[in-house]
Amino acid sequence: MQFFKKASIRHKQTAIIMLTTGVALLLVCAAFVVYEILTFRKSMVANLTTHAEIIGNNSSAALDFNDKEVAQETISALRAEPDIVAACLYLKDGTPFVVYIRPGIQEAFEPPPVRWSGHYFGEQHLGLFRPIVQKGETIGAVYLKADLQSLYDRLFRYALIVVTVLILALLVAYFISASLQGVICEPILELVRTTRTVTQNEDYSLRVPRHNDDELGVLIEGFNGMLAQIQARDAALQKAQTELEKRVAERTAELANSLSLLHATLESTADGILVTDCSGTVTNFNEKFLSMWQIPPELARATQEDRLLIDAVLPQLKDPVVFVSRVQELYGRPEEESFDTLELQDGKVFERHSKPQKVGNKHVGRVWSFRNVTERRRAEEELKTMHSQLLNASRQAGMAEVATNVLHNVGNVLNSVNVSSAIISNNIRSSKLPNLERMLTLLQEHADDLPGFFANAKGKQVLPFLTALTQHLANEKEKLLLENESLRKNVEHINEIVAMQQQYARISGVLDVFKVEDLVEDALRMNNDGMERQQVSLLREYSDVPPVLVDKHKVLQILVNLIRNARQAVNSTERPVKSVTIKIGSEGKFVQISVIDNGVGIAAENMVQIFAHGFTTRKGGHGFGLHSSALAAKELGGTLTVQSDGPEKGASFTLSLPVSEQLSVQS
Amino acid sequence: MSYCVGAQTYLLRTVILFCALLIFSISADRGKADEASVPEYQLKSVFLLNFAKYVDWPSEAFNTSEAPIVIGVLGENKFGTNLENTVKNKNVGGRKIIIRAILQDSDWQTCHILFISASEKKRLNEILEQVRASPVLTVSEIDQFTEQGGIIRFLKKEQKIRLEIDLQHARKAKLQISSKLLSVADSVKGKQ
Repeated sequence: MQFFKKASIRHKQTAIIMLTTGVALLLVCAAFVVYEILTFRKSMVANLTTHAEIIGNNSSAALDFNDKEVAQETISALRAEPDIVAACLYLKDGTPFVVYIRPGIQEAFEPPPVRWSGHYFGEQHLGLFRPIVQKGETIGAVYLKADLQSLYDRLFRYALIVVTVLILALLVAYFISASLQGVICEPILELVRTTRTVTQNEDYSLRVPRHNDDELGVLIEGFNGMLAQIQARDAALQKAQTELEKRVAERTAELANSLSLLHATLESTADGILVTDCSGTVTNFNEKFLSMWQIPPELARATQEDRLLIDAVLPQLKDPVVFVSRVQELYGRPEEESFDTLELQDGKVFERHSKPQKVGNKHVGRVWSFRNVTERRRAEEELKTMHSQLLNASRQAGMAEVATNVLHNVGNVLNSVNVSSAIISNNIRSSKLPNLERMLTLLQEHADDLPGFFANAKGKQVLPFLTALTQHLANEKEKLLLENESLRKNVEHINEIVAMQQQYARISGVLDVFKVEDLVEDALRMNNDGMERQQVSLLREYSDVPPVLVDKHKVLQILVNLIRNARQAVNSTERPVKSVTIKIGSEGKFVQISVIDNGVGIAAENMVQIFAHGFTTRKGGHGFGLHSSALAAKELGGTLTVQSDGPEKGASFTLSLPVSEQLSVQS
Repeated sequence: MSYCVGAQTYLLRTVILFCALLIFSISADRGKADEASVPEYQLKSVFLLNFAKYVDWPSEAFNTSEAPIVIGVLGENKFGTNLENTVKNKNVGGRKIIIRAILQDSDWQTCHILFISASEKKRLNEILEQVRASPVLTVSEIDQFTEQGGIIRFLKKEQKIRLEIDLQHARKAKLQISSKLLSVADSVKGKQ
């Protein structure tokens, strides 16, 4: 059967034909041979029977009359039959009477026990018994033993014939099949050859020529059709593959690019990054991560287990238990993002941020990023301190502004006081009192002789002198009283200013309900001096608005600031009419106080940063006036906004404050 | 070498010869014993019976088709009971065999086989004359029996019983003697 798996169709076909022919022929030959053998055996038996009959017949009298010689003679007639190798005549009682052995036969012959008829085929011999009957009476038996050599000879001859015929028949069959099988084989072989060529050269343009219309023709046509389909498909495939390859190359390049980008990103980031999959196996990390946690790179490269990394990390932590439990918790909830702050033993502070890694909608792992925020923390702390300091400073600055105003006002008044005081001093210094003293001394010198003195020329001058002196002193007294009155007024003014300042300083930080107009007027009063001095016209457009609940100090700080700014803004222009308008209005739940000037205005690019800390357009300005004002407005629950049409077009600052619900107004 | 082969061949020949002699002597002994063991008249009675198988009588010799074949013994009966025993329950060609001691002359012609004992030697001519025209197979041990007109004579030769047959006399008696019988006969007379 192995042959049938491997051999070609041509050989198979030949083999089948040969086998069929051989088997058929063999069967026929076998049938003939068997028939011949059977016939021959039958004829042998018949032949032998005839001989036995003759011998029996001829020897019956010899048996009957006990004549061994005659019997021997009779039986010896079998010499003429070369096949018969032995014979025996039996008496009626079964005892052998005479025995015949063919001359030249070497083997011993022992007569077999008698049987009255029948024959048997032995290996080499045919034995046959026949009864000897005389007048109906069985008087004995004859046994003939024939050599089967002739049978075997015949068999051998038959075998030879069969083999010869078989060989000849097979040869003929072979040649006939060889010449005829081309009809079937050739198309198949051509098909095979084409298939092989197609397979080897991958040339699908080949076609098998069709010669006939039988099943093979159909097969070849089908094969050609298949080839055509394959060719078409191959072309399409080739095209698709080329495109695919191109796309793959592109994608690969992109991928490589994005990989290197990823790697560069991973390595360039200031954060330590660790990527794990859902089961906690480490899939990626960057050098920063290792250096942050002081993990030896060999350990990290050798292991994929996050366990070992965690073990390396834990001793560095202040609270390892929380760390571990958090990590476990996060593995249990893959979709969750986390943000933790980790404090280390050595005082470092790390922020740990973890985000799920998703492919499509599937969570495949988690990205952990660690950021060393020690410095930032410190900076933040510093910033906080600084901020509060700054806030303080700003408040103090606000207060200083107020104080400056107060001092300014006080200073102005003090000028008057000084002038008054100087006038008084001068008056007193230039007093005619020494003249009086000189008079007195003159008089004392002439005490003994007063009348004489008076009589004297000099003495005669005393009276007019005294009269003039009295007149002079009276004038002086009048002048001093006037100056003194002025001085008193000025001192009273200072008193007033100080009292007001004290009033504001005292109530800082306390919310209360105030009338807006009062606040505005207070602020104006604080700036009053400057306004008057610089000849700025102040316009008031007050509407009736509800009271506000505010920290009066803060509001004043803002308003004073705004008014001063407005004043300075208008001062910086060459405009003939410098005006500042204070407008009070309300809109919804807010009261709006606008300070509008026609001063230098604000450039558009500065609008954005005008409330920023440190911004100033004024020489010598500290830059947190508006900043702190805006902050304060925010603290009050309101807003501070600015509006300007541009440089030299003035500006409008509006402070919105929430309306108070309370109705009681503290004046 | 050649001496050796010669010696072997010689030895083989001696052995074969010895074996042959042994076999021959055994078979010879058995032959003698066979002959001796069968008494003469028993054999002869068997022969008498067997004659019936090889001789055809004319149809007028029998009254019916089933009429028995009669063997008659004339004169001194030397067979004793042998003959009786031999033919007992036998039949030849569908006919029974009957033994009959011949006491009267008239009975001779009713026999089919007539054994004439040696005691009747003196009146042999007379007897033969009587049965000559009848289909009677005459058998006797008497010398010159066939010359005097008898058909079959027993004779002894080399310790064996042999037959002498005169066909002419048989033909006269209208008897057909089978050639088989003639083949075992020691001598056949009166052939044509």
